[in-house]
Amino acid sequence: MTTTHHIDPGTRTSVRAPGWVRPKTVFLAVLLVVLVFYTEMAFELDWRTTAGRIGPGFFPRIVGVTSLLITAWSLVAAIRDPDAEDEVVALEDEVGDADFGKHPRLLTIMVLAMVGFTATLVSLGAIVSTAAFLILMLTLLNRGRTVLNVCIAVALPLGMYLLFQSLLNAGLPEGILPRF
Amino acid sequence: MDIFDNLANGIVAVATPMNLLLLFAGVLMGMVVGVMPGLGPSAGLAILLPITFTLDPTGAVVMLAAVYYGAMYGGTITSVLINTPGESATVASTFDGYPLAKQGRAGPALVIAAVGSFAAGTICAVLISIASPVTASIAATFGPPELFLVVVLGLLTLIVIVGGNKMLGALSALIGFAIATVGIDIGTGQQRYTFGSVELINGIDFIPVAIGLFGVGEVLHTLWRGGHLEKLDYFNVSARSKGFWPTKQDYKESAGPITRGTFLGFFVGATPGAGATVASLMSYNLEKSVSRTPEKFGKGAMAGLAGPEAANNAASSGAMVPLLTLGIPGSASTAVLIGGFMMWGLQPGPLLMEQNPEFAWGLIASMFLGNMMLLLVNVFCIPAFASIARVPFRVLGPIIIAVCVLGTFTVNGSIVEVGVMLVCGVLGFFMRRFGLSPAAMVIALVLGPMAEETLRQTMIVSGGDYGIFVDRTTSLVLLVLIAMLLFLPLAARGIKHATARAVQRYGASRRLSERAEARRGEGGDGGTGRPSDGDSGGPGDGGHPDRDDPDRDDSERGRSRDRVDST
Repeated sequence: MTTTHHIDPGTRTSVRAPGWVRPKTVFLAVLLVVLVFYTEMAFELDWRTTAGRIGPGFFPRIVGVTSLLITAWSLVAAIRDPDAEDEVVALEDEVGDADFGKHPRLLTIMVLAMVGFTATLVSLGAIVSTAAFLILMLTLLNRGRTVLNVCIAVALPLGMYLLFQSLLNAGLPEGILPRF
Repeated sequence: MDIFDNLANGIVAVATPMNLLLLFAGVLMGMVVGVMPGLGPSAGLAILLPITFTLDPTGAVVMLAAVYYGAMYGGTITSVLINTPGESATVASTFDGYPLAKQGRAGPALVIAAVGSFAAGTICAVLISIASPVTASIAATFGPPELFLVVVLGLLTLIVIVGGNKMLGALSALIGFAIATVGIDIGTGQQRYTFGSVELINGIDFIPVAIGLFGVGEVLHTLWRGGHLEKLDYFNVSARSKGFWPTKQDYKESAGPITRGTFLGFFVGATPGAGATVASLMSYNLEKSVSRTPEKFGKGAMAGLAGPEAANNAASSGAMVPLLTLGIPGSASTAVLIGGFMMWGLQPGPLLMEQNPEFAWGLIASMFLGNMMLLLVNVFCIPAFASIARVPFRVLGPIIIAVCVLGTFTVNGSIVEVGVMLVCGVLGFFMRRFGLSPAAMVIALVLGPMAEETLRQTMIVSGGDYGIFVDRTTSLVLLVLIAMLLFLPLAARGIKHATARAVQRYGASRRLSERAEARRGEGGDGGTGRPSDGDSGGPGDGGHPDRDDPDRDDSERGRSRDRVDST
């Protein structure tokens, strides 16, 4: 599932895609689209009220237009100088750990598991959905330690439920299990 | 005398058995959060916010503050034992902390770090007691134009001083402002960006955003970088071992760096935007520059650990000054803390110390008591916390996500907020990945409504005339400060160079005077005066190239600056 790569920073640039299809460019492009919608909606709101005071669109318009300009500028800069991305990543990688490669597939599984966890939280209940999420992710990440993984997957949801629901009365969904 | 009366009242208010218990629990939880690599104080505070729901406001805030400074202490343990900073503010502690552990001196390193943190925390609590009322009395004269400009100033400081790409920093803050505009417009009652959803009428709550950005975002980023494959090389530490306690020489070497780090850290921390990370790295560079033995730095110099440790704790205390008196969070952690205060109906700002003195002074008083607890917990429980640091990310990651989801749900029992939290988690991952600043976004989210409200009030006062900003002296001063801050990047190179040269000259003169003294001492002992001491570089030989070559020191400082940018 996950492989350990040891990437030589010096060889990174040569195998990379052109600037306009880099992840950072795509991210900024998506952000630009979202901000276009935000700004467009801001212009539907009033700049000033009939009494001449600041209207509901005053602040959003300033925020929208300014952020659009900055995002567009950053997007152009990212396309024209794609190696700037490498600099940021390299600086982040410098602090702390060794390079274990990048794991987008595992990241996607984690995000999907979180979505599933959230979607089933109310219907299955806090204990069951948390246990299911934990057992899935621990099986993927902490392989070969089944007993430990099961113990964590059972004990943690129970502990959290007792803390939040029974002790703090903060309210967690009981789902298919009876409330206690 | 008022200050001491208020402080005494604060101590009395905090010193109830329940509050002391909460303080102790907060300190312990903070330490646990701090020793978990990849889970910093901001994430820890955000995740632990829901636990304080059933408490009274003073108890809750005392506990949250204890978590905050407990986490600042705890981050050092992983820096020293496994060379992995718990959060960016303890990066500087790895430079000499880990080499000390490799020399078998992990115990003395951790004890000195705890003592340095304790000294800094206690001195800064005194400084807060003095600075807060003064700042609050000045801030009480501020009107809406000044408060608006203070908000702008705080955000600009954050963007200009910290972070590599200033455009992306500004963009992060604007995203925070944009999120803050969701909900009902206070001035007109009109809905904005709610898309007909009842859940969004009150706006997007701060807590899910903070938990997502700092908790989930951090886990996703660590997972993407292969944190689950990491095998931790750690050093054992036992309080019963022979060399656990520092020697007299260690204390002697650390006294100066702790003192300098404390004052440097406090003033850096009190500047909105410049946080503990900047303070600790500045302190490391300062200590290296003024040290008599700079060649030891990076190889296990106690001064290289003690200074940054004192500085990062002092900065986290210093950040309380703008938070309590202006309502401006200076860092991501204090932004979460301010979110907690607001949750309890407490509005930090100039009037807090007048309207809620028992709370404000109780919080300051809790710092004195909390620091004492932290010293004891830190020194005597180091082995226990070291064992927590050994829990690998492959186990910790899914657990943190589960805690984030359940914690967010308990805030308002809303599944929509859990969804917002997850979206912010993914956004936080991409922001970290592409050089945007989640801290700037969260701070802007907190300050957004304040900025809009004060600007609206300003326009009402002035009848829509922007000239009000230059008509009032205080706002004019703030405008000049903003202009200076905007031009700072242009002058930064010259300022940094001049400061580095000045500090370096001071360090060189210290080294020369020490060598001269050593020579006189040898002459007095009836030594032969043979030129053997010339090997160590006498005053006349221009010094050892490793020690006195300014270009070398500059390049090393340059590398450390890179570290500041990257964190």
